[in-house]
Amino acid sequence: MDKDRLARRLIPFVYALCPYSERLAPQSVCSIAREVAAILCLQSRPISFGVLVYLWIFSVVVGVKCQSDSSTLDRMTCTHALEHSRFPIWGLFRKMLSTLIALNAFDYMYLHDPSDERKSA
Amino acid sequence: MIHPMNESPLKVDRPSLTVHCDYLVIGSGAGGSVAARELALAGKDVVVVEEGPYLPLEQFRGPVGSLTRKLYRSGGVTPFFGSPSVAFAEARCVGGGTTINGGLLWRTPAWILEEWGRIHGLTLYSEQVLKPHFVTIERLLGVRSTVHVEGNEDSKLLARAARSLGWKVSAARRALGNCQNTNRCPTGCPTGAKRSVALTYLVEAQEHGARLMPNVRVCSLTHEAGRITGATGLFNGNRVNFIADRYFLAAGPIQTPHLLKRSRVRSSAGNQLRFHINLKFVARFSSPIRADVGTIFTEQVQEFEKQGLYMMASNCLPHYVAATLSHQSRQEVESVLTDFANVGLFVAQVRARAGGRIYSPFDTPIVMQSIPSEDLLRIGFALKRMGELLFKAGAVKIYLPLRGELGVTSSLELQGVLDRMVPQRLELITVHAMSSCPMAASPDRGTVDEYGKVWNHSNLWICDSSTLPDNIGESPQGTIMAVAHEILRQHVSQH
Repeated sequence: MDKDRLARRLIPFVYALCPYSERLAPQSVCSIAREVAAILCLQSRPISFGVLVYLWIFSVVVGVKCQSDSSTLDRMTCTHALEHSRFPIWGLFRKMLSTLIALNAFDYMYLHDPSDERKSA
Repeated sequence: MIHPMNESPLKVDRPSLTVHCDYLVIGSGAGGSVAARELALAGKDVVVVEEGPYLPLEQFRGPVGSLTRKLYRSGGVTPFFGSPSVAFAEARCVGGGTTINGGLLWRTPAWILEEWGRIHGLTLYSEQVLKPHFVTIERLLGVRSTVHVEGNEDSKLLARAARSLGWKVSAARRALGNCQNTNRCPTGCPTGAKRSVALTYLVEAQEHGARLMPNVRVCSLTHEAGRITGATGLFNGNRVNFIADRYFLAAGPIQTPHLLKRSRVRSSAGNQLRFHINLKFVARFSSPIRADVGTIFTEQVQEFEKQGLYMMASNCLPHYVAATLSHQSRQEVESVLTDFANVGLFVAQVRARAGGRIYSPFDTPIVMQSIPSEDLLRIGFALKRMGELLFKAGAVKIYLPLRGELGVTSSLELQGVLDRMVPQRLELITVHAMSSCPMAASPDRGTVDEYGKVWNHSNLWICDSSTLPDNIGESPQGTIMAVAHEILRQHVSQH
């Protein structure tokens, strides 16, 4: 599984699914995509293959360009399409993606970990 | 013995090309650590291998995302395929689940043990047999009832609401020293207050000569004429071999049967996986509750224990709230997070009858599961009861684990959602799986006998959650450890 290729495909999904993604620097979005891709590649081959197929079909169907400089239009298209997706078979992959993105996104939003900040306050 | 806090007392060994020992223990969690300690105390030469890393306490202060990647398998999301699918959060680190859980440690209810005898024909495990083991476990881990301290407002609100409804509430019993309320239980307690087995059992095992080898994934067992002759693993991409007289397998509810199947030791292993279904709720309150100040929970609602339902608060951080709301739109998630001080995260844990099956065609297993209609009734019951409880606690909006549903603001709306609930839209997770290699009175009904010995194999035992005969409902750490103690007591007395 090509991790970089998967990461590139993930970028619009990070924009679409990650809370406050517009506040993140593009390099942070790329980093989140890379980390999620790395996790997916550690999964069994059929799962990462399934995710890649899902991303590919989804990208083709909704016309999302999977490039690191994903434009606002791409993000909106992706967001809209994800929110109105009626493909239950994709539910698992969408859930995996959005959960992994959520778990990983906040490292890039806080300069310091919030609990450490609280402790030092 | 209980070690002082702020220590990282384990030392790790690197495996040589071939490692010889009396006993190879595969897995270092709740079950494997008991095997390591008991065997080492009995003077055996023990090697413990663990697939995941060893992280000293100071590293638990790191960012939540990167710790989740290090401490959990598949970044915290191992899929159980089905409709609806279930996301399994499984530990993969030294200490196993005890490193990343809330330290909850309940004694096995008597009625569960009675079921084991009546339904599964197991006669060994009774309250009397397990009691001395629980006494030992509770002493070694410093288990006690949690008391309310500063913070934990989410737990207090829930408990007060339950009491006002006349429902049974119990103080959480946890393996705990002086909890500092860092709210970091799921990514390893940074203060060492939570007494994981990495701070207790494994330390004592090492003091008696056991060797610990993290980052070693055992890929296969070799066997001949009903006897395991060796184990092959990978360490930093290099193949290592282990040759032992006897083997204790404690790699968890998925990996243990996977290893047995891949090695062609027991093809029926993994055919009967059981798991709890966790329904997570995000609740918004009209005033700040600061649910992030505190620990996992201090009290648990047990009114519906016999119907297989437990209700409690959960560790609340933006990461977990966003992950829980992963089925909501990004705008809705942002709106909730903007109001984070008023938000709490709660969980209803359901003792499901759902069955899973583990397939092993690849290096990593595939888990398929199906949720029967009786579980859907239980889930509906749990959604309704938890909704009622949260509204009673003062919630003004509740987000249910149902895709396509926005939050509900009243009991009437809640009922409407339940009336039109589509099972495929449930957002289910689990953190407890078990019974994939169950104990049974005969080889055709399970993988191991009552003493944990794999049927038809002379030197292979299992002592983790996979041996539990059925879903136990409550957090299983206490039961896993007590059963492992009994398996080891029997073993040491005979060998």
